[in-house]
Amino acid sequence: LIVAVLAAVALAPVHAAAPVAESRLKAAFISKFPQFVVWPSAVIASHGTADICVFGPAGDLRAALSEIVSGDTLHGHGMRVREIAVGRDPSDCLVVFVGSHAEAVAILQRVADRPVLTIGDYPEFLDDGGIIELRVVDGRVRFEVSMTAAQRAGLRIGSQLLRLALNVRGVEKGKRI
Amino acid sequence: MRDRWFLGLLLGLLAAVPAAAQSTQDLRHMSLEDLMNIEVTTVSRTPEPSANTPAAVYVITADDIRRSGARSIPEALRLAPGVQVTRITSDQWAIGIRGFTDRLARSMLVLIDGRAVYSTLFAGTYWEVQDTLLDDIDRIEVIRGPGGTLWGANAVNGIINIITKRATDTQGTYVQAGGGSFQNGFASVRYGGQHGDDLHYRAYGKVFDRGAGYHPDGDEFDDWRTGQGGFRADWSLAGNRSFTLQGDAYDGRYGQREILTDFVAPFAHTLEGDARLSGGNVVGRWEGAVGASGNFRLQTYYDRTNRHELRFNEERDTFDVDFQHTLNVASAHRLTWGAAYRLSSGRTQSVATEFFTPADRTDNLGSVFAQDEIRVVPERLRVSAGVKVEHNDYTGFEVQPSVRGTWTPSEDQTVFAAVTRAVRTPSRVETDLEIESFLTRLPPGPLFLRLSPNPDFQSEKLIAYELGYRIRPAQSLFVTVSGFVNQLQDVLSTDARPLFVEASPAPLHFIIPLQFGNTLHGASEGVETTADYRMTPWWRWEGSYSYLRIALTRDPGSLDVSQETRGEGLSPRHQAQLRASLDLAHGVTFDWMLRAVSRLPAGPVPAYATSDVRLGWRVTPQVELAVVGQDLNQAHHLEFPGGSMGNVEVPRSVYASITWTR
Repeated sequence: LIVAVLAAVALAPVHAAAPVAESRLKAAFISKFPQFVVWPSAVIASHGTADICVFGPAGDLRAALSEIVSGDTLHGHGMRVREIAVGRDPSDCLVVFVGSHAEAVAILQRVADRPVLTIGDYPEFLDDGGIIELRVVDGRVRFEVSMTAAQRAGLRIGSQLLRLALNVRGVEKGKRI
Repeated sequence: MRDRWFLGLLLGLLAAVPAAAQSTQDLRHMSLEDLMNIEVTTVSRTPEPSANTPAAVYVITADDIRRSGARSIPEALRLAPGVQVTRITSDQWAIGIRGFTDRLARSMLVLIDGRAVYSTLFAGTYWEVQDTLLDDIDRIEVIRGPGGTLWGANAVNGIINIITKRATDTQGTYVQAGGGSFQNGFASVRYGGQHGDDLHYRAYGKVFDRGAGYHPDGDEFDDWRTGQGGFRADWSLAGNRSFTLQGDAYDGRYGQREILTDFVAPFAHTLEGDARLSGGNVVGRWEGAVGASGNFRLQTYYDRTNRHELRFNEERDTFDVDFQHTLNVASAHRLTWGAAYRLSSGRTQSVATEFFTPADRTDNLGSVFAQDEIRVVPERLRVSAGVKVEHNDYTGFEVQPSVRGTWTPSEDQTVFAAVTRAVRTPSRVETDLEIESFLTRLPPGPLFLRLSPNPDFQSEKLIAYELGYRIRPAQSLFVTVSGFVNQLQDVLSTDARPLFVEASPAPLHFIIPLQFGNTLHGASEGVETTADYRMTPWWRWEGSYSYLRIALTRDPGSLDVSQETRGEGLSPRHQAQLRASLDLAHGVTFDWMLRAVSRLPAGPVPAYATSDVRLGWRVTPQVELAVVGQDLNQAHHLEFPGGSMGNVEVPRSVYASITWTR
């Protein structure tokens, strides 16, 4: 039996869809999320461009994101990716990406009740007050959404996005241990 | 013969293997759904949602269930490490976690979408009537160890939490049908739709007919057939809230063989026939955001079970309401509190030699709990402490505190530790039941065992010390180890007193009086370890091993005659399993699972190893064919002693199925 199974391994080439670097795949997710989010119309009107602001040392992700969104528009505005320093006020960004807890607290406090879609990819991002947390589960990118934080920001999250979420906080199922 | 069968299967696999590697994706033009199917090359951080949980949790996913070939919830539970799943007859299971496994395992709590299915009549879960459309199950969380603080009484050695999918995830049509040996035939259908953007719903129906187990005496009494239907509707409400209404109803016939004791000769009859078991439930759940950073859940359900068995009938109505509120206080505290009330009313009818006093009884159960989860060091150290206070009609107030901590020294490893107290509260079986069982004829007259009610039966108590470690030493490998020591007090005993003579009812007969008591104490300890290895993107291995040792001691003056032996001897000391899951070309999947279980000295049940195999082929995106072989290694094997109905063994079986989704 074991010999036959080993033979199967030797003969089997790589499986279907080729894997993609984590940072590139996460960038692709970040580029899709805004399509499912409704900002208050006054906010969209007041912005010249639709900016996705990336904090901190997420160089690979930022480069991939720039590549993916170049030429795209969001609600009629050209999408742009900006790197932004931690001390700066990000409230003119429509989307903010934060890669670590150390940076997140100061940033999230600044934009918590502003119409900014906050996305993070470290555990406990939602506990810090973020809206969408990316994580890798079973080798695939998944995300959790905090409706509580979205509501505070004045953003409406489309049901298509919620349906795909691993978990939606604020409409929690089950109990936490 | 078996080897040749395997060989054929493997040759088939080899033919299916050549898969085409795909070129680089154009991520920009892919939908979110497509992106979700792409694997990442570097896996880091939380590998599973459960990775940071301060308890020994294993999550059985919908995909795991589908690929296992399981046709019932008990079979699916075999996927979880450290869970002892044994089939007593075709239609009865004994399932336990960390010991005390029995037909009705009294120290394990089972919930289906928040509805407790623990029977307070006989203390345990009647697995044969716990069912749903298996494809509707989103996941089964199996928690080894106590969870009394959050979950309440009887969550002593473990919790099985079955969660079904939201109606948004089951849109469209699903039809499945199949049959084979043992699984004589089954069919399921589901339809999911929506009304506007805010209301999604589904309805399902299923029927099956299962054959009898293997009987050394050839008397195949335990075949069964049942039908079940249900629905679920999820509404999205304003303010990030939602309301769910769901329900199920079932009706089935379950083959049984029982011994009926009588005071007139010949004193014992074998009864054989079908038990008729039916029931239903309706659950309403309102949940969502409250305040700036909190959320709440208000759930209520009504559950009806009818058990018309050969020796007794019970009809039970349960009404339950449960409220829970979670809020973040400052940024470091996550506070959860809640309150619950349950009313459970049962009416019994039975025979002269087995009856409950009073025949009808209504039980009340009320509880409040609070737990604070503190982020001591963000991303590194969390501690939670909580307590549940519960009031029941048997023992009054019960207090179940817990302290748990999780330390995450790096992204790839987690350590947890917990100290918990939990109780198993009395059920009617201990306090209200009288049973006479005919033992033998002595020259002057017949000898009976008489189990008398014990109104002073106390809760069984446990203090658990747990420690666990999870690590991802390489991108493709995830390993967990957990260990525990449980101190047990006031453990269930069956105490015997001296024989006496009774003249009425005639004829003159002898009685050995028995009574359930709390005259045992002891300790249990164990270690469970799991490994998940993704050898290649298309070939995954999972393995687990668990060790368990239970040592019970009689209190001074204890008259226990059976529970010390049963408690120690009906759980295997060693359990191990190995699973391989292969995704091959052309939509072909292959799964193999081997499980090995050491002997049960109290059965006695010899050690055994057996395996299941599933070969699936997705012919088109809508249609999947599958062939499943279960318990293949021997023609039949014993898993649990059958008691008075005699041992029944699990036969080797094969079935095929076709599934169509649109």
